[in-house]
Amino acid sequence: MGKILTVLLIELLILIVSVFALKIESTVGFLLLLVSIVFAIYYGAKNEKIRYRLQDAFSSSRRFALILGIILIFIFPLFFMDSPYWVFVITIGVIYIILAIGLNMMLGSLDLVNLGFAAFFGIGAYTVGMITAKYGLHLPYLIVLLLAGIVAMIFGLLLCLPTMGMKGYYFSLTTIAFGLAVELTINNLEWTGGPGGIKNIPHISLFGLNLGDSYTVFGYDLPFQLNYFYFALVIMLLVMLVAWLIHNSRIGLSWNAIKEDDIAARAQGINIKVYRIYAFAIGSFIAGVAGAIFAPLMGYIAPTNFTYAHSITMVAMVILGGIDNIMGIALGAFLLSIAPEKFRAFSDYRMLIYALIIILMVIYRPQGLIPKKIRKYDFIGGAKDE
Amino acid sequence: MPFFKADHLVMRFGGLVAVNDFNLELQPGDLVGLIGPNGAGKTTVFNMITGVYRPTSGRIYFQDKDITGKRPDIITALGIARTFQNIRLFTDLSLIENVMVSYHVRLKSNIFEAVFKLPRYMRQENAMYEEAMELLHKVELDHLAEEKAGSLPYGEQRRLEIARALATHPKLLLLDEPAAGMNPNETLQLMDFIKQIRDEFDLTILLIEHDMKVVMGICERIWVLDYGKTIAVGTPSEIQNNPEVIKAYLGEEEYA
Ligand SMILES: Nc1ncnc2c1ncn2[C@@H]1O[C@H](COP(=O)(O)OP(=O)(O)O)[C@@H](O)[C@H]1O
Ligand SMILES: [Mg+2]
Repeated sequence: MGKILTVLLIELLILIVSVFALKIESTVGFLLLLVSIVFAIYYGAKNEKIRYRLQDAFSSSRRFALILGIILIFIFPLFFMDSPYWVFVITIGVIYIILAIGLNMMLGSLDLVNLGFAAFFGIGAYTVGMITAKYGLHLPYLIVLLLAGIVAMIFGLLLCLPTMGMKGYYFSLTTIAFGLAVELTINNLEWTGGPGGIKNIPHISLFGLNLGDSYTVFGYDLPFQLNYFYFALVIMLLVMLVAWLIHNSRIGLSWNAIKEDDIAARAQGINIKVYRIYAFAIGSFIAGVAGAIFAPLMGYIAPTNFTYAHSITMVAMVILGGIDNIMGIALGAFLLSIAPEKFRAFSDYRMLIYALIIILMVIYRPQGLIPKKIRKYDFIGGAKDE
Repeated sequence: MPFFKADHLVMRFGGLVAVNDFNLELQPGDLVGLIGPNGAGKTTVFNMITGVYRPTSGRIYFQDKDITGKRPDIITALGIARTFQNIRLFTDLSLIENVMVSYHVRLKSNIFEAVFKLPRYMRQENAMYEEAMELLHKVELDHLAEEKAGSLPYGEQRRLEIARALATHPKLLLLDEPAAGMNPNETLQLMDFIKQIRDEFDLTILLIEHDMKVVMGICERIWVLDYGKTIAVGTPSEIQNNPEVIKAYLGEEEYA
């Protein structure tokens, strides 16, 4: 009983802090809050007693923690009904969580620092924009979403094959070039709308509902952004589930083995090319799906949404939150997608701050805020990392 | 055709001939030593056999197949496993995971079954887990199954690496200086262990050793390399009294 209470209190605390973090007006106040969150996590993780109690509480009531967590996330945006803008910002945050989880399959699981990941995001978004706005095709949205993922995946494989033997700087440099090439191409092609991008992308309509409409529930007029939030959330939970299953399957294990020592991995019989293809295919598919939510939410997309700076941001999210830990990645992605809204005054220094975060994390806490856990094997049931 | 045959292997790195005209035949159940001073080309022989390097010339046959230049993972799947001179464990993974990685090759389930944990995959994974635990038990590390491999002391890392190699179900096992860094007592135990696994798993073992004395006790035949050339082949007693071998080793001691 005490354990359930601990879980309940912790999760409520997280909810309250998150709401507070967004509501806080002053930049300094937000900064203080942010620093104290980071310190709380850092020292909480260091203190054996606290860590043990929390781990024990969460692992013995795993299902409760999960269900409660999901419920609280569903409630979360209802605190912002007075400002649709914040619902919009949170939704973007959710989209970035999806992106960061996709990126982690290369960056975290295989140590392939992809610095052009925003390209796949853009390709997904543009696929939707082209189909629905430019050509005005009336395909069911879920088909469009799937197509966005598949087109991004094809580009993922196009990047994967020529970089097959590459590691380290060579790989990263090539991905930068790839990202820039995609950005410049959509910027210069008339077919994709050039620098002006694609306008008037229609809203998602799903099972007869139009996500662009404002629905009234119990007499409240809900902002249309809330529809997108819930839709993005469902996709995010699905992506998380699949990522978790993959991480705990033989694919995740093989990725990690290859990351640690590719020569030893091959000597154990792993075909490293095949596993690299999996990472690119799945990772870029997920990014394409994120793009497919982004485009109709914005209604207007342009090359400036998918730049090198965006790629760097995604890398910073994964490194800050915690490589190969889904909760960590979600935290990192959320923090870094909210932060710019709070630091508008410093927007000129945004990239500088991200660079600083990456440097500080790599030096002081390379495993991220919430580090990867060792998979536990409690048969029958397979691997679990939480 | 013998069980294993290395036929006139040559490995050149630029101007350096690391291995020159290496020939070796093995029969099932052999326990053969490959010795020689540092830099003689022993590890390079392993790297050619396991597909890390493609020989400059010469062929390698294993169980009636020409395996020259095949990919390392394919060679492993065919039944040749190895350990490394400078231990190459997956240090950030747990012991049990280090061993389980090797089983994946033989799993018959596809990736969808694996990701969504469908029954066939779970059955296989279960059997695999139990077998991996057994192997860890064999090397007396089962009580540490969920610790990180990197946290083990040196000698235990060597044992884990052997367990990991055994998990690929090899027919031919290549051990690269498994006793390096061990004290004489540990070395003795290890040699016993090597003989024991050869009998238990029906292995053929090719063992690299830098220190001549170590292999004298357990190998039936010994190949001696020096500067890439095979300078002697024979039983331990023949090798011990071979003037060329003595010269090669004396030369090294003078150097050191
Ligand atoms: N990849 C490589 N490139 C260049 N030279 C190498 C390479 N691998 C090994 N060598 C050289 O080949 C020779 C034999 O090395 P090695 O097989 O490791 O010797 P041993 O295992 O007998 O100590 C050494 O001179 C070494 O420097
Ligand atoms: Mg060597």
